[in-house]
Amino acid sequence: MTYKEWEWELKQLLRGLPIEEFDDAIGYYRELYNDKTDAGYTEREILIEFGTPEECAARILNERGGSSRVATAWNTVSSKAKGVAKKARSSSALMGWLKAGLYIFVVFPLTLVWFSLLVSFGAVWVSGVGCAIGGALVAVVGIIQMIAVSGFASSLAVVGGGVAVAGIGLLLIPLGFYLMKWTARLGALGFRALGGRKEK
Amino acid sequence: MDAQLKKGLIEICVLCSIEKEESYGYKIISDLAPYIEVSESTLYPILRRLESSGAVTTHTEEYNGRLRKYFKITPMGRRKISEFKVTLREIEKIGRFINRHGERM
Repeated sequence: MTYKEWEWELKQLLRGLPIEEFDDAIGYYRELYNDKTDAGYTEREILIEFGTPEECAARILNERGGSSRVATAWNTVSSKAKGVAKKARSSSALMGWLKAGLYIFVVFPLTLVWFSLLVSFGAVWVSGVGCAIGGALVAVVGIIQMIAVSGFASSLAVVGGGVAVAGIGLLLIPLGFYLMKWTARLGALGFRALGGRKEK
Repeated sequence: MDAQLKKGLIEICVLCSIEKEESYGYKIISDLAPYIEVSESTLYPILRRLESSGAVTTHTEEYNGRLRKYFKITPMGRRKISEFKVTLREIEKIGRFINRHGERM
């Protein structure tokens, strides 16, 4: 234990004292600590001589008002405060575990699903673009065949097929685009909600 | 030694250690160390009690960039020493009686 930790514990135990008495007690030990450090004592030696923060607090509180009953009451309050702090520490550890579980079993799988959907909708958009370009090219080739080469009926069928594929492609482009956009927005909302929880 | 008796003795020892000149926590403990065992946590409540009873006054001075609290004896503190010296003479008398009584046994 360092002196700073020792002093922090003493402060917690003396928290109920009036500010003047509190400052006086903390100032006394800090002054002695500095004087003893100047005299060549090590931090460890000084803290052994001081005793535990509980012992020091008990002496101060015992002397206060000259009544051991008052001191006992104060000690009970201090122990209760320590108990509450301990419970708070253990409940925060439990919350940590719950949070970890939530991230591993809920947030992480959902993120994977979200990312897969985003990629799939991206693929729909890409295939839409492909169909539109491919269909248009096929239609153009069909028209050229119709004009330059013989076989009107077959060339017309090629043009029809190309236009149909291009039409499907043109439908898929906005569909893929909007699905991607909405998925991305949903993901952003989810991440923002998680970030908000963290701040709390 | 009885705890209350020891506390009373330490009180007088503290007053004696600042009788000639004012002093501070670490010096008081160092001055008392060869004569009576007193720890830092024992001394603090005693200094508080002496201050609140008016036997000592305190003031803070800066030393090496930090604060140091000095204790100065008051007339009431000096009276306490005188009263204790009277009590001590009575105790010595009782002590002599106890020793004589013990020798006869």
